[in-house]
Amino acid sequence: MKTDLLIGVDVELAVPPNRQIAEQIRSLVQRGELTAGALLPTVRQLAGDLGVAPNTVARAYADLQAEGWLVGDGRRGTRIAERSPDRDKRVRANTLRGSIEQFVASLVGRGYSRHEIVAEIERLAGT
Amino acid sequence: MSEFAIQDFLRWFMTGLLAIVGSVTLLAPRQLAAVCPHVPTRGLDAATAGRIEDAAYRRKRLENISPAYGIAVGAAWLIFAGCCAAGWATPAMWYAAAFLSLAAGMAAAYLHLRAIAGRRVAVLDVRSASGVVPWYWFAAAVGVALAALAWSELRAPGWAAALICLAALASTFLAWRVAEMPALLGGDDVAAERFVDEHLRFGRATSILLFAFVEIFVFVMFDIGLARENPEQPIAALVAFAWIAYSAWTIANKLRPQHAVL
Repeated sequence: MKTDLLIGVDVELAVPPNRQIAEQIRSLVQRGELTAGALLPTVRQLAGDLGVAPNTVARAYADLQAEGWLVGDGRRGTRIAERSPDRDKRVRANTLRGSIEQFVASLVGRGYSRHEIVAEIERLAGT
Repeated sequence: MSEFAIQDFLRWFMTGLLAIVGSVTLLAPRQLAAVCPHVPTRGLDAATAGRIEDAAYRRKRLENISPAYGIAVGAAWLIFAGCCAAGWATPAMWYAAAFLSLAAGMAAAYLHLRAIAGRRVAVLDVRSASGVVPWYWFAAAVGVALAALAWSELRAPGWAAALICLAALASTFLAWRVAEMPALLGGDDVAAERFVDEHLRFGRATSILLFAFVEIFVFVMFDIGLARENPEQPIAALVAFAWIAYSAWTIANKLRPQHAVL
Protein backbone atom coordinates (compact mmCIF):
# COMPACT_ATOMS: atom_id res chain seq x y z
CA MET A 1 0.00 0.00 0.00
CA LYS A 2 1.45 3.39 -1.01
CA THR A 3 0.99 6.21 1.46
CA ASP A 4 2.04 9.83 1.59
CA LEU A 5 1.94 10.05 5.38
CA LEU A 6 5.02 11.67 6.81
CA ILE A 7 6.73 11.79 10.14
CA GLY A 8 9.86 13.66 11.16
CA VAL A 9 12.29 13.99 14.02
CA ASP A 10 13.63 17.32 15.25
CA VAL A 11 16.76 16.66 17.31
CA GLU A 12 16.67 20.23 18.65
CA LEU A 13 13.44 19.64 20.53
CA ALA A 14 13.59 18.76 24.23
CA VAL A 15 11.28 15.78 23.58
CA PRO A 16 13.29 12.57 22.95
CA PRO A 17 13.14 11.29 19.33
CA ASN A 18 11.36 8.04 20.32
CA ARG A 19 8.54 10.03 21.91
CA GLN A 20 8.33 12.36 18.89
CA ILE A 21 7.92 9.30 16.65
CA ALA A 22 5.36 7.64 18.93
CA GLU A 23 3.38 10.86 19.24
CA GLN A 24 3.20 11.41 15.49
CA ILE A 25 2.08 7.84 14.78
CA ARG A 26 -0.50 8.09 17.56
CA SER A 27 -1.84 11.36 16.10
CA LEU A 28 -2.10 9.83 12.62
CA VAL A 29 -4.17 6.96 14.04
CA GLN A 30 -6.38 9.31 16.05
CA ARG A 31 -7.03 11.47 12.97
CA GLY A 32 -7.95 8.34 11.04
CA GLU A 33 -5.10 8.78 8.53
CA LEU A 34 -3.51 5.50 9.60
CA THR A 35 -6.27 2.92 9.62
CA ALA A 36 -6.59 -0.38 11.46
CA GLY A 37 -4.44 -3.12 9.96
CA ALA A 38 -2.11 -0.73 8.10
CA LEU A 39 1.45 -2.06 7.94
CA LEU A 40 4.19 0.22 9.25
CA PRO A 41 7.76 0.32 7.90
CA THR A 42 10.28 -1.96 9.58
CA VAL A 43 12.31 -0.56 12.46
CA ARG A 44 15.45 -0.55 10.28
CA GLN A 45 13.78 1.24 7.37
CA LEU A 46 12.19 3.96 9.49
CA ALA A 47 15.36 4.46 11.54
CA GLY A 48 17.42 4.78 8.35
CA ASP A 49 14.99 7.21 6.74
CA LEU A 50 14.83 9.40 9.84
CA GLY A 51 18.56 9.16 10.47
CA VAL A 52 18.11 7.86 14.03
CA ALA A 53 19.32 4.71 15.78
CA PRO A 54 17.16 1.58 15.26
CA ASN A 55 16.70 1.40 19.06
CA THR A 56 14.91 4.75 18.98
CA VAL A 57 12.26 3.49 16.55
CA ALA A 58 12.08 0.12 18.32
CA ARG A 59 11.35 1.90 21.60
CA ALA A 60 8.65 4.06 19.97
CA TYR A 61 7.00 0.96 18.47
CA ALA A 62 7.28 -0.89 21.81
CA ASP A 63 5.64 2.01 23.70
CA LEU A 64 2.80 2.16 21.16
CA GLN A 65 2.36 -1.61 21.35
CA ALA A 66 2.24 -1.44 25.15
CA GLU A 67 -0.46 1.25 24.91
CA GLY A 68 -2.42 -0.84 22.43
CA TRP A 69 -2.01 1.35 19.33
CA LEU A 70 0.11 -1.17 17.43
CA VAL A 71 0.29 -4.93 17.23
CA GLY A 72 3.27 -7.06 16.24
CA ASP A 73 2.50 -9.30 13.29
CA GLY A 74 5.46 -11.65 13.60
CA ARG A 75 7.88 -11.54 10.69
CA ARG A 76 5.37 -9.62 8.60
CA GLY A 77 6.00 -6.46 10.64
CA THR A 78 4.05 -4.09 12.84
CA ARG A 79 0.45 -3.07 12.17
CA ILE A 80 -2.05 -0.55 13.48
CA ALA A 81 -4.26 -2.29 16.06
CA GLU A 82 -7.83 -3.15 15.10
CA ARG A 83 -9.25 -1.46 18.22
CA SER A 84 -8.06 2.02 19.14
CA PRO A 85 -7.17 2.28 22.87
CA ASP A 86 -8.61 5.81 23.00
CA ARG A 87 -11.30 4.84 25.51
CA ASP A 88 -8.81 3.73 28.15
CA LYS A 89 -8.47 6.57 30.71
CA ARG A 90 -4.79 5.97 31.39
CA VAL A 91 -3.97 5.89 27.68
CA ARG A 92 -6.02 9.03 27.09
CA ALA A 93 -4.13 10.82 29.86
CA ASN A 94 -0.77 9.66 28.44
CA THR A 95 -1.76 10.70 24.94
CA LEU A 96 -2.82 14.17 26.12
CA ARG A 97 0.35 14.57 28.17
CA GLY A 98 2.56 13.46 25.28
CA SER A 99 0.87 15.82 22.82
CA ILE A 100 1.09 18.81 25.16
CA GLU A 101 4.72 18.06 26.04
CA GLN A 102 5.70 18.02 22.39
CA PHE A 103 3.66 21.13 21.64
CA VAL A 104 5.14 23.07 24.58
CA ALA A 105 8.68 21.91 23.80
CA SER A 106 8.24 23.08 20.22
CA LEU A 107 7.04 26.54 21.31
CA VAL A 108 9.77 26.89 23.97
CA GLY A 109 12.28 25.97 21.29
CA ARG A 110 10.94 28.84 19.17
CA GLY A 111 11.45 31.34 22.01
CA TYR A 112 8.04 31.58 23.71
CA SER A 113 8.03 31.76 27.51
CA ARG A 114 6.03 29.31 29.60
CA HIS A 115 3.93 32.21 30.86
CA GLU A 116 3.00 33.26 27.30
CA ILE A 117 2.09 29.68 26.37
CA VAL A 118 -0.08 29.08 29.44
CA ALA A 119 -1.81 32.46 29.01
CA GLU A 120 -2.64 31.71 25.38
CA ILE A 121 -3.91 28.20 26.16
CA GLU A 122 -6.12 29.58 28.96
CA ARG A 123 -7.46 32.23 26.61
CA LEU A 124 -8.26 29.68 23.91
CA ALA A 125 -9.83 27.29 26.41
CA GLY A 126 -12.00 30.14 27.66
CA THR A 127 -10.90 29.99 31.30
CA MET B 1 43.98 -16.68 -37.40
CA SER B 2 46.65 -18.37 -35.32
CA GLU B 3 46.34 -18.80 -31.53
CA PHE B 4 49.16 -16.25 -31.06
CA ALA B 5 47.48 -13.64 -33.25
CA ILE B 6 44.19 -14.01 -31.38
CA GLN B 7 45.92 -13.62 -28.00
CA ASP B 8 47.75 -10.55 -29.30
CA PHE B 9 44.54 -9.03 -30.62
CA LEU B 10 42.76 -9.68 -27.30
CA ARG B 11 45.61 -8.11 -25.34
CA TRP B 12 45.48 -4.86 -27.35
CA PHE B 13 41.71 -4.84 -27.44
CA MET B 14 41.62 -5.14 -23.62
CA THR B 15 44.31 -2.50 -23.22
CA GLY B 16 42.25 -0.11 -25.34
CA LEU B 17 39.03 -0.89 -23.48
CA LEU B 18 40.59 -0.36 -20.05
CA ALA B 19 42.34 2.83 -21.19
CA ILE B 20 39.17 4.32 -22.72
CA VAL B 21 36.91 3.55 -19.73
CA GLY B 22 39.64 4.67 -17.32
CA SER B 23 40.04 8.00 -19.16
CA VAL B 24 36.28 8.59 -19.34
CA THR B 25 36.00 7.88 -15.60
CA LEU B 26 38.79 10.35 -14.87
CA LEU B 27 37.04 13.00 -17.00
CA ALA B 28 33.65 12.45 -15.29
CA PRO B 29 34.66 11.00 -11.91
CA ARG B 30 31.23 11.40 -10.29
CA GLN B 31 29.40 9.39 -12.94
CA LEU B 32 30.82 5.88 -12.97
CA ALA B 33 32.02 5.06 -9.45
CA ALA B 34 29.20 6.92 -7.72
CA VAL B 35 26.52 6.15 -10.36
CA CYS B 36 24.61 9.45 -10.50
CA PRO B 37 21.84 9.06 -13.08
CA HIS B 38 20.34 12.23 -14.44
CA VAL B 39 16.85 12.98 -13.12
CA PRO B 40 14.64 13.51 -16.20
CA THR B 41 12.11 16.34 -16.34
CA ARG B 42 11.14 16.03 -20.01
CA GLY B 43 7.38 15.91 -20.52
CA LEU B 44 6.60 17.68 -17.25
CA ASP B 45 5.10 21.16 -17.06
CA ALA B 46 7.53 24.00 -16.27
CA ALA B 47 6.46 24.38 -12.63
CA THR B 48 6.80 20.66 -11.87
CA ALA B 49 10.08 20.41 -13.78
CA GLY B 50 11.37 23.34 -11.71
CA ARG B 51 10.41 21.58 -8.47
CA ILE B 52 12.15 18.39 -9.60
CA GLU B 53 15.28 20.29 -10.60
CA ASP B 54 15.34 22.10 -7.25
CA ALA B 55 14.91 18.81 -5.39
CA ALA B 56 17.64 17.17 -7.50
CA TYR B 57 19.96 20.10 -6.78
CA ARG B 58 19.29 19.89 -3.03
CA ARG B 59 19.88 16.14 -3.16
CA LYS B 60 23.16 16.62 -5.00
CA ARG B 61 24.33 19.10 -2.37
CA LEU B 62 23.22 16.81 0.45
CA GLU B 63 25.00 13.79 -1.04
CA ASN B 64 28.11 15.80 -1.89
CA ILE B 65 29.75 12.78 -3.54
CA SER B 66 33.49 13.26 -3.74
CA PRO B 67 35.12 12.85 -7.18
CA ALA B 68 37.88 10.93 -5.35
CA TYR B 69 36.03 7.62 -5.81
CA GLY B 70 35.84 8.04 -9.57
CA ILE B 71 39.41 9.34 -9.80
CA ALA B 72 40.70 6.30 -7.88
CA VAL B 73 38.74 3.90 -10.11
CA GLY B 74 39.78 5.69 -13.32
CA ALA B 75 43.44 5.70 -12.25
CA ALA B 76 43.25 1.99 -11.38
CA TRP B 77 41.81 1.19 -14.84
CA LEU B 78 44.62 3.13 -16.54
CA ILE B 79 47.23 1.28 -14.46
CA PHE B 80 45.60 -2.05 -15.36
CA ALA B 81 45.63 -0.98 -19.03
CA GLY B 82 49.38 -0.40 -18.74
CA CYS B 83 49.91 -3.77 -17.07
CA CYS B 84 47.86 -5.45 -19.79
CA ALA B 85 49.88 -3.73 -22.54
CA ALA B 86 53.10 -4.81 -20.83
CA GLY B 87 51.97 -8.41 -21.07
CA TRP B 88 52.00 -9.12 -17.33
CA ALA B 89 49.43 -11.84 -16.64
CA THR B 90 46.50 -12.49 -18.97
CA PRO B 91 44.19 -9.73 -20.32
CA ALA B 92 41.30 -11.49 -18.58
CA MET B 93 43.06 -11.03 -15.26
CA TRP B 94 43.35 -7.23 -15.74
CA TYR B 95 39.78 -7.06 -16.94
CA ALA B 96 38.64 -8.86 -13.75
CA ALA B 97 40.83 -6.66 -11.56
CA ALA B 98 39.36 -3.54 -13.19
CA PHE B 99 35.80 -4.58 -12.37
CA LEU B 100 36.83 -5.49 -8.85
CA SER B 101 38.24 -1.96 -8.44
CA LEU B 102 34.98 -0.54 -9.82
CA ALA B 103 32.98 -2.54 -7.27
CA ALA B 104 35.29 -1.24 -4.53
CA GLY B 105 34.82 2.37 -5.73
CA MET B 106 31.04 2.02 -5.83
CA ALA B 107 31.05 0.39 -2.37
CA ALA B 108 33.02 3.34 -0.97
CA ALA B 109 30.54 5.80 -2.52
CA TYR B 110 27.66 3.77 -1.08
CA LEU B 111 29.20 3.90 2.42
CA HIS B 112 29.49 7.67 2.03
CA LEU B 113 25.78 7.91 1.11
CA ARG B 114 24.79 5.69 4.05
CA ALA B 115 26.60 8.00 6.45
CA ILE B 116 24.70 11.17 5.45
CA ALA B 117 23.12 12.72 8.53
CA GLY B 118 20.86 15.69 9.10
CA ARG B 119 17.27 16.58 9.72
CA ARG B 120 14.93 14.31 7.74
CA VAL B 121 11.37 13.19 7.33
CA ALA B 122 10.15 9.68 6.52
CA VAL B 123 7.19 8.43 4.54
CA LEU B 124 5.27 5.70 6.40
CA ASP B 125 5.50 3.42 3.40
CA VAL B 126 6.83 -0.13 3.46
CA ARG B 127 9.77 -0.42 1.08
CA SER B 128 11.91 -3.38 0.05
CA ALA B 129 14.82 -4.04 -2.29
CA SER B 130 12.70 -6.41 -4.37
CA GLY B 131 10.10 -3.65 -4.74
CA VAL B 132 12.75 -1.71 -6.71
CA VAL B 133 14.32 -4.58 -8.64
CA PRO B 134 12.49 -7.95 -8.46
CA TRP B 135 14.37 -10.59 -6.45
CA TYR B 136 14.72 -12.90 -9.45
CA TRP B 137 17.07 -10.43 -11.17
CA PHE B 138 19.35 -10.55 -8.15
CA ALA B 139 19.14 -14.36 -8.25
CA ALA B 140 19.89 -14.32 -12.01
CA ALA B 141 22.92 -12.07 -11.41
CA VAL B 142 24.27 -14.50 -8.80
CA GLY B 143 23.70 -17.39 -11.25
CA VAL B 144 25.51 -15.51 -14.01
CA ALA B 145 28.41 -14.73 -11.65
CA LEU B 146 28.72 -18.39 -10.76
CA ALA B 147 28.64 -19.25 -14.47
CA ALA B 148 32.05 -17.58 -14.69
CA LEU B 149 33.37 -20.28 -12.37
CA ALA B 150 31.77 -23.01 -14.46
CA TRP B 151 33.42 -21.41 -17.47
CA SER B 152 36.70 -21.52 -15.65
CA GLU B 153 36.25 -25.28 -15.15
CA LEU B 154 35.93 -25.67 -18.91
CA ARG B 155 38.48 -23.19 -20.20
CA ALA B 156 40.59 -22.82 -17.09
CA PRO B 157 41.30 -19.05 -17.02
CA GLY B 158 41.71 -19.76 -13.27
CA TRP B 159 42.19 -16.70 -11.09
CA ALA B 160 40.65 -14.33 -13.63
CA ALA B 161 37.36 -16.25 -13.45
CA ALA B 162 37.44 -16.27 -9.66
CA LEU B 163 38.11 -12.50 -9.58
CA ILE B 164 35.39 -11.60 -12.08
CA CYS B 165 32.95 -13.85 -10.19
CA LEU B 166 33.85 -12.02 -6.98
CA ALA B 167 33.41 -8.61 -8.69
CA ALA B 168 29.99 -9.60 -10.06
CA LEU B 169 28.85 -10.94 -6.67
CA ALA B 170 30.06 -7.73 -5.00
CA SER B 171 28.13 -5.62 -7.56
CA THR B 172 24.99 -7.72 -6.99
CA PHE B 173 25.23 -7.34 -3.22
CA LEU B 174 25.85 -3.61 -3.61
CA ALA B 175 22.84 -3.23 -5.95
CA TRP B 176 20.69 -4.96 -3.31
CA ARG B 177 21.94 -2.61 -0.58
CA VAL B 178 21.42 0.47 -2.78
CA ALA B 179 17.86 -0.66 -3.57
CA GLU B 180 17.02 -0.75 0.14
CA MET B 181 18.98 2.36 1.11
CA PRO B 182 17.29 4.87 3.43
CA ALA B 183 15.29 7.57 1.64
CA LEU B 184 16.85 11.03 1.85
CA LEU B 185 13.90 13.40 2.23
CA GLY B 186 14.64 16.82 3.67
CA GLY B 187 11.00 17.87 3.98
CA ASP B 188 11.13 21.08 1.85
CA ASP B 189 9.08 19.60 -1.02
CA VAL B 190 8.47 15.98 -0.08
CA ALA B 191 6.68 15.00 -3.29
CA ALA B 192 9.51 16.24 -5.51
CA GLU B 193 12.17 14.87 -3.17
CA ARG B 194 10.44 11.50 -3.22
CA PHE B 195 10.35 11.54 -7.02
CA VAL B 196 14.10 12.22 -7.09
CA ASP B 197 14.78 9.61 -4.40
CA GLU B 198 12.83 6.90 -6.23
CA HIS B 199 14.47 7.79 -9.52
CA LEU B 200 17.99 7.66 -8.05
CA ARG B 201 17.27 4.45 -6.14
CA PHE B 202 16.01 2.70 -9.28
CA GLY B 203 18.69 4.18 -11.54
CA ARG B 204 21.56 3.31 -9.24
CA ALA B 205 20.39 -0.18 -8.28
CA THR B 206 19.65 -1.20 -11.89
CA SER B 207 22.91 0.30 -13.21
CA ILE B 208 25.04 -1.45 -10.60
CA LEU B 209 23.25 -4.72 -11.26
CA LEU B 210 23.77 -4.20 -14.99
CA PHE B 211 27.53 -4.12 -14.35
CA ALA B 212 27.22 -7.58 -12.72
CA PHE B 213 25.60 -8.98 -15.88
CA VAL B 214 27.77 -7.13 -18.42
CA GLU B 215 31.14 -7.90 -16.86
CA ILE B 216 30.47 -11.63 -16.95
CA PHE B 217 28.97 -11.45 -20.45
CA VAL B 218 32.03 -9.65 -21.82
CA PHE B 219 34.36 -12.00 -19.94
CA VAL B 220 32.70 -15.04 -21.49
CA MET B 221 32.49 -13.48 -24.96
CA PHE B 222 36.11 -12.43 -24.70
CA ASP B 223 37.15 -16.01 -24.27
CA ILE B 224 34.76 -17.63 -26.71
CA GLY B 225 36.92 -16.72 -29.67
CA LEU B 226 39.40 -19.25 -28.37
CA ALA B 227 36.82 -21.99 -27.89
CA ARG B 228 37.46 -25.18 -29.78
CA GLU B 229 34.80 -27.35 -28.18
CA ASN B 230 31.07 -27.03 -27.75
CA PRO B 231 30.55 -27.32 -23.95
CA GLU B 232 31.10 -23.57 -23.51
CA GLN B 233 28.29 -22.59 -25.85
CA PRO B 234 25.31 -23.22 -23.51
CA ILE B 235 26.93 -21.18 -20.73
CA ALA B 236 27.69 -18.31 -23.08
CA ALA B 237 24.14 -18.45 -24.44
CA LEU B 238 22.64 -18.41 -20.94
CA VAL B 239 24.78 -15.47 -19.84
CA ALA B 240 23.88 -13.55 -23.00
CA PHE B 241 20.18 -14.32 -22.56
CA ALA B 242 20.23 -13.17 -18.91
CA TRP B 243 21.97 -9.92 -19.83
CA ILE B 244 19.60 -9.15 -22.73
CA ALA B 245 16.48 -10.02 -20.69
CA TYR B 246 17.64 -7.88 -17.75
CA SER B 247 18.48 -4.95 -20.06
CA ALA B 248 15.05 -5.20 -21.67
CA TRP B 249 13.37 -5.21 -18.25
CA THR B 250 15.40 -2.20 -17.12
CA ILE B 251 14.58 -0.17 -20.24
CA ALA B 252 10.88 -1.07 -20.03
CA ASN B 253 10.74 0.03 -16.40
CA LYS B 254 12.68 3.21 -17.03
CA LEU B 255 10.06 4.23 -19.55
CA ARG B 256 7.21 3.50 -17.13
CA PRO B 257 5.98 6.50 -15.10
CA GLN B 258 7.23 6.51 -11.55
CA HIS B 259 5.25 6.81 -8.35
CA ALA B 260 2.57 9.43 -9.02
CA VAL B 261 3.54 11.89 -6.32
CA LEU B 262 3.47 15.05 -8.40
